Amino acid sequence: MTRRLAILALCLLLGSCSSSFRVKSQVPQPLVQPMPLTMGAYYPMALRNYRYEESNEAREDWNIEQGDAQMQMFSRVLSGMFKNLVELPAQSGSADLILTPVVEEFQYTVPRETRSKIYEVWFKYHLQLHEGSGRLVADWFMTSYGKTPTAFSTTDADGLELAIQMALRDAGAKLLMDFSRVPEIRQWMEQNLNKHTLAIRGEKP
Amino acid sequence: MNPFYLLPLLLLAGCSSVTIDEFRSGSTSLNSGESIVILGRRHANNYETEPSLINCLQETMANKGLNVIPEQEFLDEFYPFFEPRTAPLNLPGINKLRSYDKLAQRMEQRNLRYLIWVDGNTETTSSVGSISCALVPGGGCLGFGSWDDEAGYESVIWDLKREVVAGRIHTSAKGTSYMPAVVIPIPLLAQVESEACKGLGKQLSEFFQPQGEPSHGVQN
Repeated sequence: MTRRLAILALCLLLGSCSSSFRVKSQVPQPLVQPMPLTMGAYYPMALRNYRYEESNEAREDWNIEQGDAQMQMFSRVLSGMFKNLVELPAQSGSADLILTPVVEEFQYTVPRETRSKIYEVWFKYHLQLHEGSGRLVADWFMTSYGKTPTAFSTTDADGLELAIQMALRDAGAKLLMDFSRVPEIRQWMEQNLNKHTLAIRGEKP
Repeated sequence: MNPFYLLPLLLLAGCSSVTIDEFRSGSTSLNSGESIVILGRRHANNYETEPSLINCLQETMANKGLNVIPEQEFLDEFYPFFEPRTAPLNLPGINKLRSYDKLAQRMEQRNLRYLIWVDGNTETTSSVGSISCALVPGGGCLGFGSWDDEAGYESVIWDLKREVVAGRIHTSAKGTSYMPAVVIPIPLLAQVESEACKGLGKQLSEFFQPQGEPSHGVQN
């Protein structure tokens, strides 16, 4: 009985022992010249239903739904990068290229763990790019990082949500800026897009 | 003792001081219709230039009649070019970004003349004292605490029309806050960040006013 009361008191002090929230994506429309291609987006179930459930008993019992926010971020970014964007049910179909993103890893820290005044979040994505025929063009990993100061948030959930939104924004920015720097994609673009198209995007071939 | 007698003490604040050093590389002025944006540097992983400071600077300059684009509005409109990990760290970097047609067009539309980067933060550097409180009826707090806050901000002003660094302003501020506690704790806070904002905002506003001689080493 005493132990239960102690746990209850501790939960009240921490705000809650179980925290769930759904992340909302706030990635803006990118300011880039779209490539004259039809891009397919294949969102596997692992991404659609992506949620982080804390398994470390020493940490708060987080349950963070991120699937919708991840899909919204990729759709927003890809629709700015390419002239047409279609969502496909497989890694092949009616598109010039098809991107398959998966969240490979998610990590976070809260201020009491690092003794700093910021919440930090890291994502590691596994990205695959196929041609419409299903031929693999590129397979690479991309990381993103987001942080937010404690001054913005009243609870750990608020702080983590803001840091995740910053990490999503960073992921979108990395994809936009680095997509055509992936050697296999660069090679594919040089073979399939003309020099004028690369030049107007600020990418001198 | 009636605790309400202590309320006037809340109006008191801890003491703080601000020092500003300015370097100006030539005459600076803002023509009609031209705009400015103030952005906080956020690429370091151990601190973050506070958005509250940037908002405060923006308000201070806007109140002086300068055309300042709000930071978040600018970051959204120019996404992904000014994010923490993609923002140019120097002038050649922004000139390279101008090869992106859409970005160059948007800058033209916004008539963006100056970009001001502010890098730094305010942090508590030391604290002493202790306060103990008894959570029982008739109890209260007793003790004394104090802590020092220090702010350091480096501002760099890029003139996008002349493609030069128009100037730099270094702002440092210090303050000590006190918290005596007799029954109830009474915070006497030094507003270090807002003092830094006041000093830097005033200096930045003057930076864009026409004037004869450049000023150096201004003390507030």
